[in-house]
Amino acid sequence: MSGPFEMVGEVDAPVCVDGVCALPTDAVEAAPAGAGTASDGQHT
Amino acid sequence: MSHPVKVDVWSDIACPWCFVGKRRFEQAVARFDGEVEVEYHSFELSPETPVDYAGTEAQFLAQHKGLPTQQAEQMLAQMTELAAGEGLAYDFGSLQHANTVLAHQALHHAKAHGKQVELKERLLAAYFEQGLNLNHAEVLADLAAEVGLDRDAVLTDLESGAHLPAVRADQEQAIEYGIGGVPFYVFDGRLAVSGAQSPDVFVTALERVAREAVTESGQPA
Repeated sequence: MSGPFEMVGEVDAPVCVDGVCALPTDAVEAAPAGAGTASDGQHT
Repeated sequence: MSHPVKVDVWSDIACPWCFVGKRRFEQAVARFDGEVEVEYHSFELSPETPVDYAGTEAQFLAQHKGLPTQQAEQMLAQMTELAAGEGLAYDFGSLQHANTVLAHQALHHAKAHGKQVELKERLLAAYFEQGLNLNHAEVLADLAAEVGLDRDAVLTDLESGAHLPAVRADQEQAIEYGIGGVPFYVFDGRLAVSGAQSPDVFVTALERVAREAVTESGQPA
């Protein structure tokens, strides 16, 4: 994924891929809004 | 700091994490002791999206992923809550799902006239918070005029496709780099951050490339 770059940070941070965006469902349930960095579930 | 840290960002207008990531990145820039230069690059998440899709965002998601509409609506509600934590007022009820290729061309026009960052913010807010239809050149030209661009010049470029090659070049570079999802940030062409990460991660990347640039130039830190 990183091509010629050195990657920094979490490897599973939320991204949008092919029209669908990973939604950190667990983080939403477990932490205040905005805290999510995990990737689980989907959203466009 | 001898020179600003250059950050290249691949993102899409129709990308909820890109707006959240933008806010988190901005927090990092505010904490960073140095200058930052941002350049946005085009990435179409759903290039097959029809212009003037008539359904709701939840219906698009349900159709695109084969999910029950109720589950899609639940996901959108969760995303809305998460965005609110970043001070963003997402309104998926009024959102008009868009094919973003014209919006990307408008952003390239804005880049050529020194207003890309301003237009990026305006388009994201228009899409996620205000329910504006970004499928159409007229709407994009109106928004471009709001950030100080010449409305007629924007319209002329959008109608002629003058910036479409630049959009395609960004997309080809993303493929070359192996970028499969957005937002994706590249710092001084060396470090990269994938996703809407925490401000701490962005600060770390900014400070590291700034420190390494000082070391390489031989200037005192």
